Amino acid sequence: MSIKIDKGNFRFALILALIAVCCFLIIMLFGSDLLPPTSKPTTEPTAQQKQPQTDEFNITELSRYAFITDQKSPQLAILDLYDKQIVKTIELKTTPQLTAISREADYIWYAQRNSKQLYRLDLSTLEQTAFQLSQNLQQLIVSANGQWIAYQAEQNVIALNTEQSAETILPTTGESTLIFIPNKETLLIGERQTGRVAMFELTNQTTKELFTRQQPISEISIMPNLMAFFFTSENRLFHYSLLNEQLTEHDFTVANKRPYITSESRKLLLFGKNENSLQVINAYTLKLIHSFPLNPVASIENQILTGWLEQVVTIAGQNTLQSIDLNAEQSPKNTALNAPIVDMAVQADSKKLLITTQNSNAIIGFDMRQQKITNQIPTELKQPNQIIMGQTNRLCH
Amino acid sequence: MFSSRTISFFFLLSIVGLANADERLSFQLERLNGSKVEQVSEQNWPDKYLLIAIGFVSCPDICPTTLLQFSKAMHYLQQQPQSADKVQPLFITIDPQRDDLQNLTKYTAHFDPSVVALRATDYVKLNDVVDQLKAGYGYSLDGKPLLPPNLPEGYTVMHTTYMYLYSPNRELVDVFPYDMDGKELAKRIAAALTTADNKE
Repeated sequence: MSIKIDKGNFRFALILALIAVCCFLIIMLFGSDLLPPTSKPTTEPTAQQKQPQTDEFNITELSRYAFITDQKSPQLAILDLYDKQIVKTIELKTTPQLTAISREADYIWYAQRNSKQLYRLDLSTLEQTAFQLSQNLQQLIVSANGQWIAYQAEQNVIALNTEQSAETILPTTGESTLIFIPNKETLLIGERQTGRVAMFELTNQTTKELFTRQQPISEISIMPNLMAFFFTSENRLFHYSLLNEQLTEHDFTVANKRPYITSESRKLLLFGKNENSLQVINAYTLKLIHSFPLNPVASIENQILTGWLEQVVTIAGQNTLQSIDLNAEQSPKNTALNAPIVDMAVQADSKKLLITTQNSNAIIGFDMRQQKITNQIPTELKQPNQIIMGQTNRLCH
Repeated sequence: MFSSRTISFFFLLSIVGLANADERLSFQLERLNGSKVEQVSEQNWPDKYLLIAIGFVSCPDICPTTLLQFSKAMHYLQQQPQSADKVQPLFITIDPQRDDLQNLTKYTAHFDPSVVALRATDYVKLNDVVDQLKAGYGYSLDGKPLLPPNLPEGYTVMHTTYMYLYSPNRELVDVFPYDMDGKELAKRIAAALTTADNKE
């Protein structure tokens, strides 16, 4: 049998061969990013769906960067705080509504509220890993080393060991404050509705009941040096000493909001009962130091933040930012904004506050020393949302 | 009830808790000069800027990173000798129970011999300088807080992580995060020195 090769067929075969070689070279050069994504669902909460992004971008100094989520698209913008510009925008697997950072491990975690899918972005490799959870997420916290996750589900709290893929269900009532205690694999749980506060030992799976107030309580704040934690309830301030394991009620009339503790663990900031004042309290003696009048306060998560070495307090107002120099003993300074604040975060060097606002794709920079807006950084995000700082002015442990 | 020890440490933390960042730095600490222990204050390096960090020898990551950046910054500043001569790096231990001056000095010298290792003789002096730096620190074991002195074996130290630059008249000039690369740190310090020179 002979095979007849005419000029037309030969040309056609040559073109096909060239196309095949080109495709091979393109795939070799650009990796599998050009291949269609697989939609295989994940069933195990361990490392799955790793999709490395071949990229020269490398994060070595976490304090140099802030990470900004988008309210309307699955994107994360990386803001270089030294060069004051967005240096990269990463495509995420979903539009993040819940975020957390493991600073020792360089991981950002994100998820949509009421979903069972959690994602981990490795900031050193930009790999994204999916974790399948057993229940829908309502709230998320992570340990600094990334080994532990705790999330609020509808009926309980769940602790997930990400290395062993093991979930532990902790029965709780309603929404809780969740805090990982540094240096110890312990989860502090404060039930908002019942006032029950307990510590769950993650390694030996035991729960220690601290107290039950039998009344609704605010979110809990723990002193960075672990001496005590604070909350409000029935317009009173409560202090639980972790040294003496005693709960004490104090005589301040305050709003039922989460107390704010400064990073050096020395000052406690509370709103007055009607949120028309800011009370500054010595965190050790629990004596009132100052009370400052306030304009109406906005209800956002990070509504109080401190900076320039914990001397300047910033409070999200309604279309304004209120700032107070605690040593100047003056009324708060109001800085007008064009729209309500979405989120705020303080840089690791304590000198600048970053703000996202509604209807703007820019990040506002507020100088804590001068108490004024100094710059605006444009982003390609549709609506900049949460600001995650690479590092903060918090304690290292 | 609080023990007397609890009250004394709480008292220390509370009475000095509202130092003004604009106040001038002053301290009374000790250093090793050869084999001799000597008392030092902020006046010991006249005309020099002080680059300061707090930490402790057995710190797993933050303090080594800080001292590495100190060393790199001093290296880069030495390329502009007029700048390097104006800066004195100091490292203050917040773990005086475990860090004696010998091992502290050996530790800092491992990173850069120009870093002066400082230690407080008591917790009053330590808390005084930590408060002026607007820093925080504490001790714990298995997640439970502890009060000095006489801390038990195996305790953990926690602390804030800034690097501070003080002017020759001991006013706070700038603050840097602990992981700022030494080259960038040197650039910022040199800029602060130039600004100060231009003002004079």
